[in-house]
Amino acid sequence: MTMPASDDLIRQLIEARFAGKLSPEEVETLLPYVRRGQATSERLAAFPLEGLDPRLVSYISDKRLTP
Amino acid sequence: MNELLFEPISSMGEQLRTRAVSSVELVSAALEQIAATDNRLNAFPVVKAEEAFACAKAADAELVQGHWRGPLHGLPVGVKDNIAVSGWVTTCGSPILAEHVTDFDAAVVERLRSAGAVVLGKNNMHEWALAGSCIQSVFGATHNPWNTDHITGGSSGGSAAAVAAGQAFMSIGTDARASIRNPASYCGVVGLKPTHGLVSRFGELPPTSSWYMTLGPIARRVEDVALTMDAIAGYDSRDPSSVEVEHREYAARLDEGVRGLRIAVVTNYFYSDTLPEVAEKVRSAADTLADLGAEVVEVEIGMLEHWPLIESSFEGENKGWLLDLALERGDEFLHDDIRYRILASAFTNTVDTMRSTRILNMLRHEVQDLMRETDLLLTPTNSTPAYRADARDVAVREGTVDVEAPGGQGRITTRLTVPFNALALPAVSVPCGFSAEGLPIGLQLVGRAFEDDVVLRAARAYEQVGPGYQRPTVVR
Repeated sequence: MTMPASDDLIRQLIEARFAGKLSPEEVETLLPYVRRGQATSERLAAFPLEGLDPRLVSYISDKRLTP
Repeated sequence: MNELLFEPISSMGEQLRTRAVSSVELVSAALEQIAATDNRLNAFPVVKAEEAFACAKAADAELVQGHWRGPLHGLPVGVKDNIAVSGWVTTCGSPILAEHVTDFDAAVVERLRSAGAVVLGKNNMHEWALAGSCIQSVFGATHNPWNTDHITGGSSGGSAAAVAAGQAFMSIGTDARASIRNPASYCGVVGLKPTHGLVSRFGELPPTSSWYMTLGPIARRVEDVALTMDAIAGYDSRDPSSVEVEHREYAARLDEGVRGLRIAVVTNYFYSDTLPEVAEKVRSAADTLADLGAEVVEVEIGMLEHWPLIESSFEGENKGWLLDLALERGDEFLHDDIRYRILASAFTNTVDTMRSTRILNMLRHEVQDLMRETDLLLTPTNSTPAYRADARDVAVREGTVDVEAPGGQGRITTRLTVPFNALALPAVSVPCGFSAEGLPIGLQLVGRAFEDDVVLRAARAYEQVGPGYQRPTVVR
């Protein structure tokens, strides 16, 4: 389980990704969109995928298919 | 208003074949209809009258010589403005492409022309096909022909409004999340999102490789959609996602009815936001299909409950190529939500996409298992009828949804349809009634991959005893 990202951290992520191409107002408008994505990412990380039948998830990274 | 414009394609095709009416007459009537109604709808912002008349004259000349290309021969149709037509502007609804003239015909346009159809012009759409209201477009908003204060839905809103108002017999739309079915539902017409790979995407813009995107017809009747599918479906080597499958005839078996078909009413996921008046019409449609001889059962698709968790992981691919434009020409975006969704897609990460794909695969298995013994799934197309264009908070079953907030509009306009884009299954929206406010409600029928003919057959059976197409307020 990952820690929820703070707004300050998300601002830093946006600045790092877009390096001065967005105004401060644009960064603030983008922030809730990225925050929403981060929240989804945290929920995905918590989703119980381990132990599932590999034939159903179909990916070779499953430990039962590739030790 | 010329009554011929509201005839079924099969009837008009026959009248053209026997030369009871000419293509030039029909094109004239359609252009007059556009002139009379489009100041209220804004569905047909690009009209190519001179070229249309030239094509109509050529179609009539062929008929005089006894050369009939089929039911679409000589019929005026439209295409959404993200489909390339040689020498015409293709804007994708964006000011950035306002002067963008394509120099080739999309595969679907080639096929329409080969079938003898007369392409009148371009239908309005939501900017970049990335939202479902059709309010933001370089050509201005499209208005719902049932109540011009309400949205048409989208992004193929111009196609649905034009067909509903008798401006064209059919229009080709595109659907990556809802964009054919949602406006068809809101405007009271029929829209088919075919199985992915059945209709070539060559010449559709933006040129995504996403398996979500499909082209398909919007028309007033199921038979009109089926006749169009007969003309446009088929393998095209220019589209890497095109699939070579056994040829099926879509119109030929339309009247075989639903006896012997097993139809599953999906009772979870689709009703959490759905207004009672919508749910009631959909339930009534299921009862009607049972009366017609279908075996109607109720099922739950458990993995669908996880759909909201995974859907955003697949958005990046659709929007990635627009990222530079969103950064460098941001002031030329009309719909801020689209621009910021594109920018946010840059933060999608590979681990999320992998986890989402695993969950999607589980959903695929669940649906595949279900559909081994079930021919069709039945759901509402939308949770609500078309909302007012000036609305911010839209009423759902419990509370309201802010359509200006991130994800708000999608929750209203795409939530019930987009899982079937991810699953690449054929899905049709067909009218199933009206709200208390007099706005159309749509029923969604979903079939097995490449069984689009079965989907249309059931939709046709229902349409013949259901409300079917009715003329909207602007053309009464």
